[in-house]
Amino acid sequence: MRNWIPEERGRILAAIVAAAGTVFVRDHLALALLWLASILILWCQGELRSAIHFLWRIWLPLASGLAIVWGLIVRGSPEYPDARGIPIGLDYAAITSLRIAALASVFQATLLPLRGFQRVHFWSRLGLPPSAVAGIISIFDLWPEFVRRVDQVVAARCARGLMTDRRLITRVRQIPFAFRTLFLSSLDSSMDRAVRWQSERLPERLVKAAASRGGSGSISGSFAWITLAICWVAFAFRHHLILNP
Amino acid sequence: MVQILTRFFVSCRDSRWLQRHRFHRIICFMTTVSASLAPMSVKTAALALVPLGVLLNLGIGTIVHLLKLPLFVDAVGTILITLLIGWRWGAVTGVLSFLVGGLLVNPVLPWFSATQATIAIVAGIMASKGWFRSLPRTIVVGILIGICAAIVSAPVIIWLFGGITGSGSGFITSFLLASGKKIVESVILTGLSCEPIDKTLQCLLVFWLVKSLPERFRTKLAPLGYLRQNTTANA
Amino acid sequence: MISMPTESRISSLDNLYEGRGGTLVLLQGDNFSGRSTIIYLLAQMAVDHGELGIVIPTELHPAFSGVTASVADELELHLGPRNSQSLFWTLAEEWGLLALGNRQPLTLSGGQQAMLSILCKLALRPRVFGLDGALEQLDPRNLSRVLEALSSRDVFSDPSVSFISHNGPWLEERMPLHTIPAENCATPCEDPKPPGMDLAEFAPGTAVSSALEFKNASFRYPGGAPVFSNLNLHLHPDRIYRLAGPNGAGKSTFAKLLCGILRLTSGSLSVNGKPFDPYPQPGTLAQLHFQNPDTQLFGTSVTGEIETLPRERRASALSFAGLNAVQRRHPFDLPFVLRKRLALTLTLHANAPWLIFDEPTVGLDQAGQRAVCAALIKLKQSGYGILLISHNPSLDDLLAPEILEFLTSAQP
Repeated sequence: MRNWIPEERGRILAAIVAAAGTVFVRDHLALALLWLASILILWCQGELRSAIHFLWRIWLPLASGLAIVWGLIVRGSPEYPDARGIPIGLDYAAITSLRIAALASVFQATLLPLRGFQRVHFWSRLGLPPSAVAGIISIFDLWPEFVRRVDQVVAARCARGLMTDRRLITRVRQIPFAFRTLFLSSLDSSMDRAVRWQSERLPERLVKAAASRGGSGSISGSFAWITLAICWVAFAFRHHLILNP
Repeated sequence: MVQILTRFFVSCRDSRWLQRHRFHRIICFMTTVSASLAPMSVKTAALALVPLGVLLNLGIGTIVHLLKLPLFVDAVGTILITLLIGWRWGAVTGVLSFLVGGLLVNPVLPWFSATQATIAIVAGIMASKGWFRSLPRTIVVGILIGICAAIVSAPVIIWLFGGITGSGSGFITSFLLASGKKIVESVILTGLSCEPIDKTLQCLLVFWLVKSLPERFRTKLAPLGYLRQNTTANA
Repeated sequence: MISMPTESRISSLDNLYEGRGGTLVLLQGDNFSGRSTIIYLLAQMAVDHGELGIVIPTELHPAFSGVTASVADELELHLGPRNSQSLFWTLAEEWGLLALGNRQPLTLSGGQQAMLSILCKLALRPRVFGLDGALEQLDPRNLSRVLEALSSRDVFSDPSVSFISHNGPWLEERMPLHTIPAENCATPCEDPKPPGMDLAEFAPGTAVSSALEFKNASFRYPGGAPVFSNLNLHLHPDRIYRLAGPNGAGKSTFAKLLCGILRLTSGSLSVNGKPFDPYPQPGTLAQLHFQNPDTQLFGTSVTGEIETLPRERRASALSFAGLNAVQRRHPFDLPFVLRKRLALTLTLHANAPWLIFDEPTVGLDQAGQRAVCAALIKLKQSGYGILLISHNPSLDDLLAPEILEFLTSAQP
């Protein structure tokens, strides 16, 4: 399995090639293939749940909206301003939806499977200084704690009797106070943490610990991914290549 | 003032003549004390504030969700960090928010990173000239940021999303498209009608927050960003 | 305000700094005696000398790196590779930290967080190691383990000193410690304690006695397992209850249900025999003091916070808290102890028949803890119902509460 996992630069390069191709391609089949391939990668690396969450909560409403607007309301496409008809509108909606799905899943497949020290290794191998790596990693690891703190702040507004009822206007009024307390209560510990990072040389320690673990990828994996990405681009633009070799 | 004192004490401490003097121990001690009171360096402040700004950008959406409100605010952290430590770090905050948000919240967010950078740049330029000092000025800044954000976001919305982003503004775009307007016109008009209001609300939130910063944070951060230009004597 | 210290006071700090490896120094004193200032100054002295000075505060979580998602990674970050067979990895196993491997550090209990942060920072081999209230959440067994490690010459190379500030009662009996009254050391940065800063006598309000009855009550979080099922429980006013049980047993959830933050999934709650749902109007039946005061202060001045109380309780609240001298200051400009007092005061003077306190004594010295307990007893006598969540064993002696045991299978 490890032979199929790319190294950091291979991962990024393959993603850039695939994304660049997606930007310009206008082929339903190619986009759908790229989308499916990315989901397969996510599934193999145990991240299928995130892909399904995106599809269900974000992509489906978006795709439905596009179909309704361009297919049923406008009945046309901005690419062919003079042409009219439901099929033209639905075709445009389909291409746009597939492009969004493909780009999103490529992004997820590139970065989501990285965990723990793998993530550290990834960012440091891209050339970022240790303090920048530590800053980026801390966002991921502090996010659950931050969400808990948000919950505590909102709960405290209720627990102190400051949110007297649940009407819309009362809930809107909570935002500035909750936000201010959230910021100030987090600011103290953030500043303390930053000072500690510097005195304990934590960023350097972090990068060293990740380096000693080594990356999870291999050169053969990088080669495989980049090759696949190039093959997909060639497939996506096959009509142009055949017509204009 | 504390930085000047610290440098003074350090040079006294390292002075060979004073090292033989009986006051040297007191000098060493005062060096320690003043070093512990010195304001933060911008690098340390960035280490503390950029991740916090990112978490605020993502987290305020969580507050809105917990309170079940039909709002979407995503640049409060960007504007706040810009005011506190400068537009460059504000831009880093904004771009990182959407890159990390792409993994934690919504994978299409990274495409709007340029919008976040634009917000930071415009907020920084206006903050450097003291435009966050009063409520009317802050409203003007909010409108300006909204206009710039609408223009920068438009190409992404047009090309990638086909004009419909899935938020409430999509209804306005649909209406304009149905009335016969072209996609470019529809998206820009939608953006110009929604973004200034949204960004003004966010600027007002930041204005209010900065006004109520505790003194010890204000002292530490004042030399680093645009706080001095944007606080009155009574604040 | 910086004042010039005397020669003898600087000597005392120098002497502390130059202690032998494995020396433990307990700084004695009440809140505001300058213990924290001394500890932080000593740590700064180490930094000035190009060495490492580490202080772990009462709140604990700032001591975590914030760049690891599991206890195992946090240990590896500080202790080095697992296969290095170092003394610290042995301690990690003895202290039960290896068993917590995949847990996120910030989801651990207070005691577990304390053990993890102490071991991780010890492994960095600091020259000065400060524990500013960090030992308060440890039970006696873990406290002995930590003190043994701190006084071990194997753990600490020479010269290295640990400084401890602690409000708990049982530290001096554990190990031979060097104890130094804080006022013997220099505290140049501390304003002298203003007059009226002690907690004053508490004057309770009058509550509408509200007996609570849960009937077949159940609760589960959306998509989660039941927290409790078919709960039948009477809670009488004029009593103090302590909610006991392990982490995750449902104590905080129960408190939030009473406050109206959450809503029962099924079953009912009655107040004085009449059905009542706290959810539409949170904070009317019960109000809750959280352990961390910082998440429950919303104003820009102490006065602003006090003004959220009923008018007739405001003067009493301000004088009880001992905050008259700082009433115009921003709450986040105050030291932790005063923020804790302010948050406690707001709940003690709240206008709700039931009051819930989660770890009300963390960070308070002995006098402060006694004052809070006296206030809780007066509230009970005035008809309020009190619920406590606390791991402080001395509260059982002072308050004699009824124990409500929460089990992990979620039935108190």
